Amino acid sequence: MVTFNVLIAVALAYVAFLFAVAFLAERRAAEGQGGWLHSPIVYTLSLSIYCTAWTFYGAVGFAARSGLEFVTIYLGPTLVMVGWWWVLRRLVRIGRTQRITSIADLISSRFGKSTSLGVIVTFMAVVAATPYIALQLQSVTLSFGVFAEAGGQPWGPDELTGGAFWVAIGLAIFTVLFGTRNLDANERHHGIVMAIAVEAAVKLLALLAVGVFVVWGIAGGPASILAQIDASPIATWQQDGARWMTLIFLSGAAFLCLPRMFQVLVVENVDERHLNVAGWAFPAYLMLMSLFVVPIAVVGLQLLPPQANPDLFVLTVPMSQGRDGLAMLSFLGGFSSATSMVIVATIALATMVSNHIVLPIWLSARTGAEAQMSGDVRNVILLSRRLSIAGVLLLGFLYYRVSGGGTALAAIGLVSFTGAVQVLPALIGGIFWRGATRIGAALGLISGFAVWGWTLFLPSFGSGAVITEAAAAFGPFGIGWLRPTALFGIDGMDPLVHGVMWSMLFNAAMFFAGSVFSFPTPLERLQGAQFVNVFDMSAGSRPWRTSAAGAEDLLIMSQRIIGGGEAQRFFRLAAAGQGKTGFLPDVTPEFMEALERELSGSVGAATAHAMIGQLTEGAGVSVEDLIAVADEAAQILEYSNQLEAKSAEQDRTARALRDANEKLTVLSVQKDAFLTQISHELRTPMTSIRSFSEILRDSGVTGQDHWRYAGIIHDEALRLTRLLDDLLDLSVLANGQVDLHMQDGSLDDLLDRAVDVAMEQSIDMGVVRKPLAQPQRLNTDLDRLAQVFINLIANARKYCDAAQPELTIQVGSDGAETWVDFIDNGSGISEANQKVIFEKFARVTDQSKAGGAGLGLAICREIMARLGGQISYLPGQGGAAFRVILPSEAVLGNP
Amino acid sequence: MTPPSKNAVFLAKGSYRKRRMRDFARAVPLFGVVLLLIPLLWNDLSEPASTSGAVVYVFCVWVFLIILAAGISRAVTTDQDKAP
Repeated sequence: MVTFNVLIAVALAYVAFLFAVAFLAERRAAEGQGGWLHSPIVYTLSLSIYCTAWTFYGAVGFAARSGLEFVTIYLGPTLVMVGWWWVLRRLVRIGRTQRITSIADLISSRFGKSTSLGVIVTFMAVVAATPYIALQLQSVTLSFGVFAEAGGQPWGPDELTGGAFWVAIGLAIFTVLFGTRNLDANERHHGIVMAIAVEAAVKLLALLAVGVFVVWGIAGGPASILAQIDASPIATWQQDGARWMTLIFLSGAAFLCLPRMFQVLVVENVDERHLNVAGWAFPAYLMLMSLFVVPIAVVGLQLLPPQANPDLFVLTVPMSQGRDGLAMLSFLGGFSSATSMVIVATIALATMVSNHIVLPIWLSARTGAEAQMSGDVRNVILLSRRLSIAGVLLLGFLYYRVSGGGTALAAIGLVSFTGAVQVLPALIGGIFWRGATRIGAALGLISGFAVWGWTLFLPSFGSGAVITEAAAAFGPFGIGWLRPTALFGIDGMDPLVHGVMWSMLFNAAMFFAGSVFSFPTPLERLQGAQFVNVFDMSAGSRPWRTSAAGAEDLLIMSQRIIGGGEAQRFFRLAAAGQGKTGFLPDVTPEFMEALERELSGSVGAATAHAMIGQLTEGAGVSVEDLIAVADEAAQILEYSNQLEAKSAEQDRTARALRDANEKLTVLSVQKDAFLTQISHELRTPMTSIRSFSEILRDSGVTGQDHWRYAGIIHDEALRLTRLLDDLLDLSVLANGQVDLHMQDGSLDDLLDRAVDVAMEQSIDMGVVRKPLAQPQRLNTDLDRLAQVFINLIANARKYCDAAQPELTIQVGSDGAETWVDFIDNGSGISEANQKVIFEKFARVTDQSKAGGAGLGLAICREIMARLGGQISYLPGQGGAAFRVILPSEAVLGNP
Repeated sequence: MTPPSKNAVFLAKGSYRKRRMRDFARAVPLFGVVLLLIPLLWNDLSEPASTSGAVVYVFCVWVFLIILAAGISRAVTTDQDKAP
């Protein structure tokens, strides 16, 4: 006999193994070399979270009670998968183009990025999924209980509850660790997908092993097992046709609508072509999972005493034959089924809760002018996801506790399916019918949910628990035609068929009527066209027209949501795509659309739209814009692709020319000013040198004054030399005649040196250093690089106008590039001036307190260009901020 | 599914064949539905059908559907109607 402690040890070892798999997969993906993570096999296996513990253990129980009917639960998804060309292909394409994060996001995004629809779908999903999660906890604890009983210490209710509690805690930790680590802006979880793919293989292997043992080890081959089926209590085929059809429909629809299935089918999909393989491979997986269910049920009924729980035959049949190893494998299979389902379900629900409930509330609660830090929204999202994961698991555990486990819970699987399926009319209508509207979707969802609650969910708590027995028998307040099992007086139907039929009928009818008789908003019409015509709309129409929002405001907002590095990279790429340098692209409608997509991959469509809408102040789309867009689209069709490419090219050139022209105009004005300035600068020292040398020559000056006048002449000559040196340095650099002295050194030492030199031992400005964890070594011209750093620090000292000036020097790296940011807390540089500060002669302030001639930054730029790096102004940091990107070949990494 | 403005009325043999394979892909689940509803007709037979017979029938249909889906999965790809 396997002792209970061995079982616990094996389970823990298995969990540790899963941790390792998830961790390795995450690391591979982060290093960008997880090619095998993106294989269609992994995708197919990850779909197997459809097979939960309810199917692993429950299918055999189902078969022992009602024969072949259990197979409908797998036939529905099979039909959906082999018919992927109809619905799944469309869903996956929409999910990818619109950056959908969950099924609530899909519904909300389709119907005009509606926040209220997101809330409704999220609420329904949580209510429908809670009993199902409780069911998983129950199955794991029951299987523990089987081993405890075999070991001679049967578990009482307290141990079962305790077991469920610890399982819930363990799952919460795993899910938080791997489900909310991702800081980049998409909802893919490589570690979790890999772990559930491994679990999928384990559960299939376990069920096949038990099946093979039962058919060949006990029954003696396929022929005799068929004979045993004919001799068993379930020998005759007496199938209720209505249930057969309803269950196939229900399971197929649930396969599309369950939040966890949507997560793996659509959100975690990395390549549309994987559907090609999954379209036949997943049905094959389901077929193998159900192949041995009837044999195991029949053999179990024959071998085990009549009071044995058929839901645990997969475990108890091998145990009764003394096959402990097989029982252990089967335990791991059940454990895998339960854990993988709970993990993905909680992630999907947590994403929905945080994006559609917590975030809108948080944003509306702080519309004031509180400090808006980079990444603050991101942190709220991560925190709310972690709390939601714990919350969802807690709900599942509480439900388990309150319902007391037992058989009442086993019946809830299909009830839970029916709840999830209420999304179906809005989902299918939304992707195939442009006329579907938000009002229709909301009416359909609410009425379907209400009918489901009344006919299936509330009665599932047991007679008299929520609905009084009188209400169940004679209808609420004695209204007979509202009886929960016989709406409109039509009784005698199977309760499940009754509930599914009425809820779907009400749902679909209200959805249709509401859509037909309401009028959609422009944004709904736009989204509707994009969803329904997802395969034709390549150019897409734009939800934004040119707006007053400044690029810098948009950057600040994006930094809050997706973090500084990610936002800056996105803006820089967008600017480069427009043929501009720096971090601020022109705010075109195309750019706004791309930005909104990027953000919605992180916070959902509704929130992303609302946040951008705040900045643009209602510059969203109007009916006139829609018509204009339609005209525009028709015109574009007439042009060839080549022409389009050419016009884009011309657009870029024109933009570059316009920029250059603006720059030249500003510079020409500044150059005049500079010439006056430099004549003045040259003339002042020349004048004093001339007059003091005349005094020295002409009159008899005493010793003390002699010293003083000579000193003045010397200082003025030095000033002249410095000015001429700068000019010379710049022209040498610009002509490329400079020799570089390559040296090895540490970046931190170099920065120390620069700070020491530039601060000249004074303490008029605070300096905060934020180095990388690992020190970086460089091989470049260190003196020249130091010159750049010194110049930037000295500039900050001169120009920072804060009462308590402070400079932050921050080293950053994303693997490919290493950079140093110099950020002060002054008032920064205006957007107009950002364009010219790197030009020669450019001076932002007119005060000549700086004493320089406006050459410092120009020299810095030339030096960085010579070294192969880059220097640019970094907008949106609060004060003036400069980013020095180190030449990539100069960075040797950590020593 | 696509508006006529984008598609030619008559196609070369290769693309014609591809279109028909897509039609076939769409038809597979419909075959499946029909085949899987057939067992319901056995309820009213004069001599009741056996569960073992139904098991064999359902799994045969299942394997048949998998083979059909696998067979056409190479013939239909979503690549060609990717956005230009």
